[in-house]
Amino acid sequence: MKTIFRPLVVAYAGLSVLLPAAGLPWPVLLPAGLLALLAIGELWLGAVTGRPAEAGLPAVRAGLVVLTGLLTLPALALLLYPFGVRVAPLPLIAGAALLATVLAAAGLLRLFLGHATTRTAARFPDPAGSPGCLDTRETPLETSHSRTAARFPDPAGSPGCLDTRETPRRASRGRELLSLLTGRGRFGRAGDGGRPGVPVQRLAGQAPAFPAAEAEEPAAPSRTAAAVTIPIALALVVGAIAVRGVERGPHPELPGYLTVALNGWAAGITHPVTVPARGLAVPVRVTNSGLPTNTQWLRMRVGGAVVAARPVTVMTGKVYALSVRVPPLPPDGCLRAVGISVGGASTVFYARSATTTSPAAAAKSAAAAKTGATKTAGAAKTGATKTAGAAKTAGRAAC
Amino acid sequence: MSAVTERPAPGLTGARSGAPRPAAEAIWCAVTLTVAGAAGAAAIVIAYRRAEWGAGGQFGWFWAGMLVFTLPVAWWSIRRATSARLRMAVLIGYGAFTYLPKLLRHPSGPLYHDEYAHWGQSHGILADGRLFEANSIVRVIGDYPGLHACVASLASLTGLSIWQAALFVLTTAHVLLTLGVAVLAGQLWPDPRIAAAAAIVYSLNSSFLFFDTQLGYESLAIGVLVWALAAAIRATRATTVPSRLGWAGLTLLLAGATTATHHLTALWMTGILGLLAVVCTIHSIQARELVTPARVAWALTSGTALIVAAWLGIVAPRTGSYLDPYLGRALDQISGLAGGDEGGRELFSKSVLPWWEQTAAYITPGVALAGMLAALGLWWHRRYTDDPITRAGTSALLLVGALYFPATLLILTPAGAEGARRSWAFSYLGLAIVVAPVVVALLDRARHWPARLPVRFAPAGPIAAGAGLLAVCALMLVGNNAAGMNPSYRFPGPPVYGSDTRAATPEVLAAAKWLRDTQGGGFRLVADRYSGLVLGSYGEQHPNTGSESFPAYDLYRAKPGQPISPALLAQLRDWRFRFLIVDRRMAEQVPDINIYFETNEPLRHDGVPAFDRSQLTKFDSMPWLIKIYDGPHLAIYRFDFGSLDRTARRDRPAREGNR
Repeated sequence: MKTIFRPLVVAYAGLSVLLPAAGLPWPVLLPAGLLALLAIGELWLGAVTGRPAEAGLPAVRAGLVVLTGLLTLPALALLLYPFGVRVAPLPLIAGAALLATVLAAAGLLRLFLGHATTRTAARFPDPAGSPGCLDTRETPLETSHSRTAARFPDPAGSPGCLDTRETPRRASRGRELLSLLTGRGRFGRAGDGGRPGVPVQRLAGQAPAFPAAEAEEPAAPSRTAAAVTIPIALALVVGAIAVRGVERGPHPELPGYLTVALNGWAAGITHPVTVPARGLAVPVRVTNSGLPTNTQWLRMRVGGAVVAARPVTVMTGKVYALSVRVPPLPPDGCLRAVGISVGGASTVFYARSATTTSPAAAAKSAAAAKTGATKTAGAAKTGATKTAGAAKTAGRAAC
Repeated sequence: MSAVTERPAPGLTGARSGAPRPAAEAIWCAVTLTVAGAAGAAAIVIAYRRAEWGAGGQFGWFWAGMLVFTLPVAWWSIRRATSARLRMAVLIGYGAFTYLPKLLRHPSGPLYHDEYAHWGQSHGILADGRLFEANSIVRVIGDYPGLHACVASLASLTGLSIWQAALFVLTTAHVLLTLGVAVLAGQLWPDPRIAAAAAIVYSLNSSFLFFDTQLGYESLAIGVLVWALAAAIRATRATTVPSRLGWAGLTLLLAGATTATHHLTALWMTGILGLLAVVCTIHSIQARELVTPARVAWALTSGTALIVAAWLGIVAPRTGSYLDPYLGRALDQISGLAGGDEGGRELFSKSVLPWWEQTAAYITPGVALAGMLAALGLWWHRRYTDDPITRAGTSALLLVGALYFPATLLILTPAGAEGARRSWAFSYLGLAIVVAPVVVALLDRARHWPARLPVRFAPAGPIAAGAGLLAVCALMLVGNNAAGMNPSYRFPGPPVYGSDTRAATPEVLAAAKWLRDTQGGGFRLVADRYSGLVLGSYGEQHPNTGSESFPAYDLYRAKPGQPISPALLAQLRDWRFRFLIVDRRMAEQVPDINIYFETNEPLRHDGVPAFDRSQLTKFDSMPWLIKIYDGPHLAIYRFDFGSLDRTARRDRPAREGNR
C-alpha cells in the first residue's frame, strides 16, 4: 500500500505548492512541480505495469517514471480539452490531482488483483516454475531467452537476465531517485509485502532467496540516485558556464538600419485620405538604429512629384516623431499618391482633396500645390485624425 | 564471429584483479568526463565564437570539442569492467552533453525554422489556453499539440518562460532518448555493453545533435517512440496475462502520446511494430513459442494503427496533404533521375564545409553498409543460439536499419532531400541496435587476436580494435552531421539572406515589433519564408508564404502594369489578409537555402535572383496597397481592397532636379 500512498501524498503536496494563490517564485515552484510529476509518473507505473525489473542498464524504471511524469502534462491538457477547459494552472493542478487519485486507485486494484493471483498461484504451483526468477510461470520462450542472457553475462558481476533470472540483488538496481522520495528504497519490503512487480510471483515459492540479498540492498538506491543526479549536476555546471561564456562574450555588431513608418493616426490609414483645404499634418516615425549620425533628405511627393524637401539629422539610436504637412490637393477629386521618404525609406498612402471645383480651377490649384511650401515640424505631434467625411467624387472623370 | 558467441573465458568477466574499486572507478570516471566535458564545451564555445567573427577554423574546433568528450564516453560505457550503474551515469552525462551544441548555438530563444513555429504555438497556448489553434508557419503543427501543451503547461505551472520550459522538456527528452535506445537494446540483449554501444552508435546519426534537439515535435516524440518500442518488446516477452496487459497498455499509452505529438514518428512507430509483428509471425512457423508474442505484436500494431488512423482521420485530416508533396515529388524526381532527366541535386554545391567533412559524409554510408552486413552476418551466425524474440526483434530492426540506404538515394533529389534526412533518425535506430552487438563482438574477439604473438603484444589487439572503433565512431559522427545539417544551422555567423537561422536581423525584428505594437497581433499577412518566420513568432501574426492552391507569390511575380490574378485577389480579400511584406533582397540576392517562399514554389532556382527590382517596388504605385513601414530592405503594406479599381494620378514634377 505504501508504494501507492507515498507517491500519492508527494503528488498532492507538490501540487498544493503550485496553486497560484500561494504566489511562490519559480525556484520553489519548479522543484515542487517536478516532484509532483515524478510522483505521478511513479503512480502511472504502479497502475499500468507495476514496478518493472531492469534489463541491461538499470534505467527502465527511472526512465519510465520521468517519461510518464513528463507526458502527464500534455495528457492532462488533452483530457481537459473536450470539456472546454483551457490550459491554465488551476485546471491543470485539479486535473493532476484527480489523475493521481485515479492512478492510485488503479494501482491499488492492481496490487489487490496481484495478491489474489498470488494466492491462486500458491495453491496451484506451476511445476515449470523457474527458480530465482521474477515470474515463476516462465514459458519455454523465456527459458530460451536465458540462452541469450547466459551468453552476455554482466561483466560487472551481476547476471544478465530479464524477468527470468532476476536475482534480488539485480532487481535492486532498478531503485533510483524516486525510491528515495517514496520511501521504497531502503525499506522496500515493508507494507504491502514486497516490491511491486516482484513479490507476487516470489511469494509463490521464491521468498527464501530474499533475506540473503537484503543485506546488500541498502546501498543500491543511493548509488543509483547518485548515478542519475551526479551526471546531471555536472552537466548543469558545465552547461551553465558554457552558456554564460556564449552570452556574455563579445559579439560582432549587427547591421544598422533606418526606418520610416506612418505614426499615430496615420499608422491606421486603411483607405484614401481626404485632405482638407488647409492641408493635413501626417505624423511620421523615423528610427536610426546602429547607423552613425547622418543627415538625410526628408521629401514629400504628391502624385509622384516632389513638393517639398528638407534635410533632417538622424542620430544613432534615436527615434524621431515628425509631423509632415501635406499641402492642399487640387480639388479635382483625383486620387494621388502621397509619399514621405527619409533617405531611401519611404511610406506611401493615397489622398484626394476634400473639395472639388471645375477642372480649370482644379488645374490652377494643382499648380499651387506643387509650388507650395511644406512645413515639417520637428516636434512630435499627436494630431487628431484628419480624415474628413466622405469625399466628393464630382470631377473624377478628369483623373 | 564464432568466438563471440561463446561464453567468455573464466577470468575475463567481471573486474580484473587489480582494477579499481567501483567507488574509486566511479570517481575517476566522473573526474575524467567532467574535465573532458568542460574542455569539449570550451572548444565548442570557441568554435562558435570563431564562426561568429568570421575567424575560420570553426569546424575543427567544434569536432575537437565533440570528440574530446564523445570518445572517452564511448570507452567508459563499452569497456567490460564498468558497472551497469556507472554505464547509466555515463550515458546520462552523454545525453546531457550532446544537447550542448544546440543549446550553445542560440541559448536565448528560437533559431531554427521549425522552432519559430513551435515556440509561437506554445506561446499561444500559454497566452489563451487553447489547443489545436492553427499555425501559420508550419500549418499542421496545431493538430499535434503534445509538445506545445507540455511546454505551455510546465511554463504555466512553474512560472518559467516558454523558452526555459522548452529547454527543460527538450533536455529531458534528449537524455531519455539516449537512455531509451540503451533500454531498447537491453530488451533484446541483456548485456549492458551492447546497450551502451547501441546508444553511442545511435548518437552518431545526423539528427541527434541538432535536429532532434531543437524545439520541434519530433524531439519529444522520438524519445517516446523508443520507450514505446521497449515496452512493446517487454509485452511480447511477458509470460503472464497481467504483465502482458500492463506492458501492452503502456505501449498503447505511449503510442497515443506519440501520435498526439508528431505525425511522422507515429507512422514510423506503426511501421516498426508492424515489421516486428510480421517477423514474429514468420519466425513462429519454426519457433512455436513465438506464436503468442506474434499475437501480442499484431495486437499492438493494430492498436497503434487504430490510434494513428483515428487521429489522422478525425483530428488532423490535413496531415496527408501536408506530407504528400514531399514523398510524391521525391519519388517523381527519383524516377526522373533514373530516366536520365536532369534536375537532381549537386551534393555540397557551393558548400562551405571543409573537404574532410565532405569526404566523411561520402564515406559514411559505406561504413554503415559494412556495419549492417556485419550485423547480418552475426544475426545469421546466432540464428540457433539467440532466443526467438531476440532473433525476431533483430530481424525487424535489421529491416528498419536497411531503410537508411534507400533514403540516401532520396538525398539526390531536391524534394526528397529533406525527407531523407528526416528518415535517418528513425532508420538509424534499427541500424544502431543491430550494429551494437557487432561492436562488442569485435572488442571481445580482439582479445584473442594476439594469441599467436608474443605475450608483450597481448594488449595490442584490444587497443587496436578500440582505437579503430573510436576512429570509425569519429568518422561517422562527422560524416553524418556534415550530410544531415546545413552549416548555417550548425554555426553562427553574419546575417545571411535566405538562411533560416541567420535571417532574423535587427531590421526584421524591429519591423515585427513595430507591427505588433502599432497594429496588434493575429493578422493574416503575405510574406516570404524568412520575414514570415519572425513576424509569425515574435510578431505574433499569421504569415502565409503561399502554396499551389493559394499562389500568394504571384503578387510578387507580376510585372509592373501586369494585372494581379482576380482569383488571387478574391482569396486575399475573402480570407481577410491585412498586410503584405516585401523583402527587396529577393531582387538582389539568391536565398542561402534557395527557397524564397516554400519548397515547391514555381520560381527560378538557377543562381540568379528570381525577381527584379521593379517587381518589388511596383507596390508603391498601387492604390490598393498602403505602404505603412519601410526600412533598408523590408516594407510593410496594408491591403485596401476597396481601392482595387482605383487609379492614382501622376503629376508632372514642379521643379526639375528637385531632390
